[in-house]
Amino acid sequence: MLDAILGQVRNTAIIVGTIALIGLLLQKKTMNEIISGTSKTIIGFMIFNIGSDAISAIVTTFTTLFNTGFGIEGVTTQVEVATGMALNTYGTEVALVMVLGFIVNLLVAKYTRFKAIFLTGQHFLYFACVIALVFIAHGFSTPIIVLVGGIILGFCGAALPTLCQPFMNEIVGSDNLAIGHFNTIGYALSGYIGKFVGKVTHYDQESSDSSNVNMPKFFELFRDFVFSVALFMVVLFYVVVIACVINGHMELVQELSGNDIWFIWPLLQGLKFAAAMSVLIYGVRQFIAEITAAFVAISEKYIPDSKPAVDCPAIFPFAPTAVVIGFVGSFLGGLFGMGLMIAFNSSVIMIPAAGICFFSGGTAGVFGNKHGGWKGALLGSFVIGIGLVMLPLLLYPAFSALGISGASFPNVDYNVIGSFIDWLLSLFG
Amino acid sequence: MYKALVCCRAGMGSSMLLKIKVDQVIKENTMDIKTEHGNLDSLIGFDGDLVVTMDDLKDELAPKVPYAVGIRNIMDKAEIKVKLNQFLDSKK
Repeated sequence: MLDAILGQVRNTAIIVGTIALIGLLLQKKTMNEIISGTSKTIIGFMIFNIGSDAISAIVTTFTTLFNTGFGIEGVTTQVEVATGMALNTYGTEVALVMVLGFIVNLLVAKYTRFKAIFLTGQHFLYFACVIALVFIAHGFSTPIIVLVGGIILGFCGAALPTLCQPFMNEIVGSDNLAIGHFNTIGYALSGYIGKFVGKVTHYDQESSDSSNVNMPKFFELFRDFVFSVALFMVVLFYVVVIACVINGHMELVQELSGNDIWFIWPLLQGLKFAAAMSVLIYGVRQFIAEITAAFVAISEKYIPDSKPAVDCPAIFPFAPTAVVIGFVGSFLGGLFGMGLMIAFNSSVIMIPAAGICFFSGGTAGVFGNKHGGWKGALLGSFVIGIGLVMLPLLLYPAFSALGISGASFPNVDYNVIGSFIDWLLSLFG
Repeated sequence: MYKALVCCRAGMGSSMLLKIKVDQVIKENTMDIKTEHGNLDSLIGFDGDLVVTMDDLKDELAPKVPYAVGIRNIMDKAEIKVKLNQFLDSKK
């Protein structure tokens, strides 16, 4: 019976529900709100699982085609997909690292000079995956993973946004907002690249600011997340299917496409990927909602001098054109990085993804633009774009050995901090 | 009671925080508005009275909804309050 109970509480949906329940109780919500909030969080997690199953199936198809067509291992840099895979196998460890991370973040903000409260719940979740996986790869037991992983995560949440604070204050025009998106090392770098560009080009606000650049209206389509994922995947599916056909693997394409006509099937697969992504994001939104609300309420009540670190689109209104330039820049950087991997005969090829290029690239653009105008935005996001596809190579071998293959965690901080932990752990054998 | 949709592109981090802040403003000022949270896809079939979003998305959404509010700094409760009051005034 005890085993049965222990087995049951390992169910990630229950852990997530319990976290929400505690959060709601701490906020002294009404009975009705507690019951509905807890159930909705669990349901949200289940929706996330449905989306992640659907997306894993499509990613498997895609990688099969890519590997057959090009003869090398292709990996998408879709963080949501990699997270889905990680949660399927190591849900307990990840969820517990995340919850301890929240607590440590609050403590660090309360008692040290690092004042950021990291409010982007999904990023906390993704980073929790990376940290937990690094420890799991080194064979640590669950209590150690949770304890040490949670402390690292919480410290990063409070401290990393500090790197970007000088730029954030200039972008926002006040000192009350921090960036809550784990590419902080990349964004700060983009900010400094912008400064450098500004110096070299004798930047003046009047003529070189990104707001004076007219970007084609077409790029505005990418503001719609689901659409940009759809377009991207349709193109990628056509590329791999055509590669298969050209290299004489028509029978594989025919087999996978089933009743669909082989040249219409890639269109449907790309759209289906976006559909699955919609479900997955809907689930994330629902299961993160109550937990984030509790985190906000607790930090505002007990740590009044803390600084909210918010998701990157919060700074998009301050330089909307730089966001679009950053998207283009980081996508070009991604393609350049892909070219480098091919040129150096890498055994694995990371493929740039639309979502990451838009959000992370766009934010890098806003940082680069501040002192470097549109040129700073373009160069800064280009460099970050290279990092977003190249850096996942560092941890991918370890993660794929754990079964997280075909997708990777692209964000800069995940890989820089994750590799550093990996290196430290390897010193201790 | 007016119904508001708080949304952004993916509908996760920034609009979640925006919703929390909007709810705080509504509660502190006892405004007659109820919010729900979503992304751009939630606009399909939305039958409420206003949409609250990030300032850079406002112009895009304005033609599609009864009333659009664009917030520049999502942590700025004063800004949210002014803009929600403008909406309420327009209904008088």
